Amino acid sequence: MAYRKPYYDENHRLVRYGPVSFLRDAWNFSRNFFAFRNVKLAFRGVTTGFREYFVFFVSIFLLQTLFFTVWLRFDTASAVAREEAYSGDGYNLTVEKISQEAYTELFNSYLSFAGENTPADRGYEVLDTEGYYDGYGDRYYRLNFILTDDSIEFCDAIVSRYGLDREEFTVSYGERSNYLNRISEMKRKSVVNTVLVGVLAAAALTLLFYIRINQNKFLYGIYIAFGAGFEKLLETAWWELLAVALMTYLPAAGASAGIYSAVAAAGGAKPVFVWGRLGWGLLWTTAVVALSVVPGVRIISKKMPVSLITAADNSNYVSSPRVSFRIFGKRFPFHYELFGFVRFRSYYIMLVSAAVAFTVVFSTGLFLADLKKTEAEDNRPYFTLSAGSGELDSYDIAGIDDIEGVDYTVWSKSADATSLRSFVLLTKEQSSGITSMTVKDPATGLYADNNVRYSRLSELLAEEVTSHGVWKVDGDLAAVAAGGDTVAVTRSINNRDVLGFKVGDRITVATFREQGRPLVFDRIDRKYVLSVLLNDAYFNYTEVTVGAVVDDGDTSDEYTVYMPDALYAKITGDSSGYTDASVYLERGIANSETGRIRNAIVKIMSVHRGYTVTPTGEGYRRALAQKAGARLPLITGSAAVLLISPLVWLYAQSAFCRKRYGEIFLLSACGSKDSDIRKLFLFSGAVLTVLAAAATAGIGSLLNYIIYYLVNVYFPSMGFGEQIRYDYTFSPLGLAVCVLLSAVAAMLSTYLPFLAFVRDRDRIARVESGE
Amino acid sequence: MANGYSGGRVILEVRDVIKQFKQYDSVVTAVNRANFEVCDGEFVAIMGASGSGKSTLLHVLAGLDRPNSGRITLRGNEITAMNADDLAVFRGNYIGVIFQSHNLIPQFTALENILVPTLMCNKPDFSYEEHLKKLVSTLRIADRLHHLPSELSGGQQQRVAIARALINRPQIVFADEPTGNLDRDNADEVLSLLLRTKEVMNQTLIMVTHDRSIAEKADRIFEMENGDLRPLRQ
Ligand SMILES: Nc1ncnc2c1ncn2[C@@H]1O[C@H](COP(=O)(O)OP(=O)(O)OP(=O)(O)O)[C@@H](O)[C@H]1O
Ligand SMILES: [Mg+2]
Repeated sequence: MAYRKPYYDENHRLVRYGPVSFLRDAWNFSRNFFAFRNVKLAFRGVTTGFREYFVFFVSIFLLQTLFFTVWLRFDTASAVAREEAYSGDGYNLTVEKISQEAYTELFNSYLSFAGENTPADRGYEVLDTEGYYDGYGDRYYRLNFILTDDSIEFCDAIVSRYGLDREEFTVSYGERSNYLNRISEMKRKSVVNTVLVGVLAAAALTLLFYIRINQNKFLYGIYIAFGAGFEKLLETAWWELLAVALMTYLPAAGASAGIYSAVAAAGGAKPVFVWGRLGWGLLWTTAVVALSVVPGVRIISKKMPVSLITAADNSNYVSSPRVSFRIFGKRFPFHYELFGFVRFRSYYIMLVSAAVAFTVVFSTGLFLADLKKTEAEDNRPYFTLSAGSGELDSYDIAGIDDIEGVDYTVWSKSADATSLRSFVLLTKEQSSGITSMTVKDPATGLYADNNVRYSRLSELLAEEVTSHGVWKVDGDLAAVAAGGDTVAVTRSINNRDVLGFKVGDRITVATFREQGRPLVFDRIDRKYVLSVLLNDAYFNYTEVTVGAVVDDGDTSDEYTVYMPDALYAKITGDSSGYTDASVYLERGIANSETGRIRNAIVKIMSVHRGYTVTPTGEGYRRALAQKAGARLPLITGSAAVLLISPLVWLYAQSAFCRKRYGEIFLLSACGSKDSDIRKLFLFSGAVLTVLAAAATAGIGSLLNYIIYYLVNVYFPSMGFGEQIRYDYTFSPLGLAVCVLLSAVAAMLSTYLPFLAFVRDRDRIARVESGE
Repeated sequence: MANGYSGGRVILEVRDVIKQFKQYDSVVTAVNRANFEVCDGEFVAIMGASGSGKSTLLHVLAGLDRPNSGRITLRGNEITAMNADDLAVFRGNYIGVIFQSHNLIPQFTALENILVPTLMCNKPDFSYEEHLKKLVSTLRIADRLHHLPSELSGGQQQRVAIARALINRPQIVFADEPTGNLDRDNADEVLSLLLRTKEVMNQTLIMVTHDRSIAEKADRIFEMENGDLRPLRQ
């Protein structure tokens, strides 16, 4: 049932849920809400009280600039991506291993999808074809399609029609649909960013507005005394901020266009302006502003007017100085002011938390920007290959490596220790970072662990990853690959270096021999499996030496032990060859080249039954990162947030100082000298500076680590977000900037209002006595 | 009627109202179990020594503050049971308040202060221009409308506060020493204005005053003494 506003009937009785139509309520509400006097009043209020609203002007301006920058970036980047996709001989879709019948059907356009049954509107064109014989002498075709619109439904239709038998068809999406997917992903990310910025903006504005309401309790008390309920107060507040937002709106759009054009020009891209964004920006602003006034208004509207009106002189912010004198006697001003921190604790806690919050947002922004940069520079495989039921031999690898544009190939063969019923035995030092995962082996006193993969390291692979600098290696990888009982190990689980391996360490690999009792695994977590095995089974032990410690870029929940071919075969019982590989392209390769490279790879791979070639298409990302400057919005955004912090301080402290005028007058009336009062403020500023700096340094760096942990460790381990090798780095410089900024903001915002007060004292004295 | 007045139906009913203030470890009982009724169109004066609880009682009656216990019914609505939001809207529609310390908004001009109630409640089909003109000329503040409160004398501020209380044509007016800052002539003038509007709009007027000659004009007089309210003249 729709909510109905209570109203008064002709006998002046309050009636709830009366027979008032919802439409009439809505009409009355909007008629009142958009009444011209509201608009006029709001605009006049914020322009005449400009100083009071200054902080709102600045923060809303910054937030709107951020909004427009996010979307400018998206529009520009997607235009660049689209241009890439449609330039050269880009095609949407390549279908492999098309049989003779299917070939005829597709090529002669007898096939119809979703009602498209004439060749003219069938929705696709066959760009080129290539016939070949597979290893068994059967004739197959490879078809490259170009789609006449952006729809990827066609791809799905092909997949579902011919992709049923994977043995016969290898379907992979070509560049264009790849791009289109990427663009929609970018769009999704931009929407998420917008919502995120909106939530942050609403949080910042809520804080500011809450400060404003608290400093203007008297005003709101009078409003409420003369009939303003929640709705009316909300209306007033909303219009106030909306008036500010409307005035900063076009300047913000202009500013972001200017900044972005300059940046884009420097990166060699042409900014793309989409006028519709202006409309969305308006909606976004309206929503953010509406959200941010609700909490403050909600709280204030529940208060009784008398408490608000009298709060003007005895609020919890400025309570009676008598108490301070009583407790600290004549030790003025230091003890007096120190006690002030106790008196005004809720205010100071809010202020310091705001500083911490802003610096955390700032450093998180920088962190994400750096992460983006790492991501963009991260060399990811462009194609991942699987040989199906065949094996990759050195001819295949050499052939792929020789294709023009291919930088190198990394192939892999690995097995999970848990599934082999195997584990490794580690010393206390080696396993101290993963104690919660290990089980102590009673026989040896060592720590058993099965969060590990065994991976095969041939000499060729060792050479490939060393010569191209793919892995970071400590030790001699070639010597490990050459054979014997040496291994190479990684140290990371879920993106954190938790294993304490050093070159020269010895570890023991235990392989399953036989079971002593029936093995019952009624749970599947690794540690449980391990403890069952330790209790109920017998093992063979192979002691090996760590010949190299490597960082292979892995971010999974297992670390890896790389073994030479013979050792790998012995431990895993698998002596077959490599089946999977990743192909890395040369940096800066044009996207139009990738089609040719793919065809060359497919030619080599097609001798293997059931092979796949998947273009993971990372190249697009490098191009975008270079052209559109993905980091810019993050950095500008966090800088913007950092700039809001001192404004919040100044705003809150000015209002706070204004509330203390009465107290200061009283103090001087009681005979304290001006120099004492000056000392009082300096002292207050100093204490606040220390508090703010300490809180920023302490809580700030803790929160930063937590954010790093969430983004790089926790979310990826839950399967969200980018998996990228990224170590937590503590940036002393960034922290110093934040601490310094908090300190300066604390000091200046305490002292400046006092100076202003001294300047205005005569005028204020007149006003105060006039009341 | 219990209190001897038989003008109309009961518009204000006060039952066992107690208001206490706790400060540090002492408790002040500003209103101690007040019980009375006021009828439609009545003029009731409340007298008493300073600190006896008059303002506190008035605030509680006008729904500006909550009593610790007791029940207050205004126009058949139990305001002690209303939530803050409904109460605010109710006040806007039916109640006018003149505060003892005028409580004008310092950053607004006199005119804007007067118009605050019209902005804060959306009375349907309500036009205040005529009314405003009459009010400001009777209160003799027509030439001071565009000044800030800090630029007005205490008496002028008082009159602006009165205009603000009356602009919405409330049906019940609570006035806390509305003539406290005025000289004899001005005080009489303001009182006659209050009584005239009361007659014209059939208002109910509840006024705190120190001035015995003003109280004499009331239908009934109550006296407060240390929080106890008792009828002085019926
Ligand atoms: N907010 C408050 N907190 C604590 N005590 C209060 C508060 N408001 C009023 N009091 C106390 O309640 C008592 C009654 O105060 P009230 O203002 O109602 O007196 P009054 O009769 O209006 O006095 P006056 O004639 O001087 O205006 C006084 O003792 C006063 O100190
Ligand atoms: Mg009083």
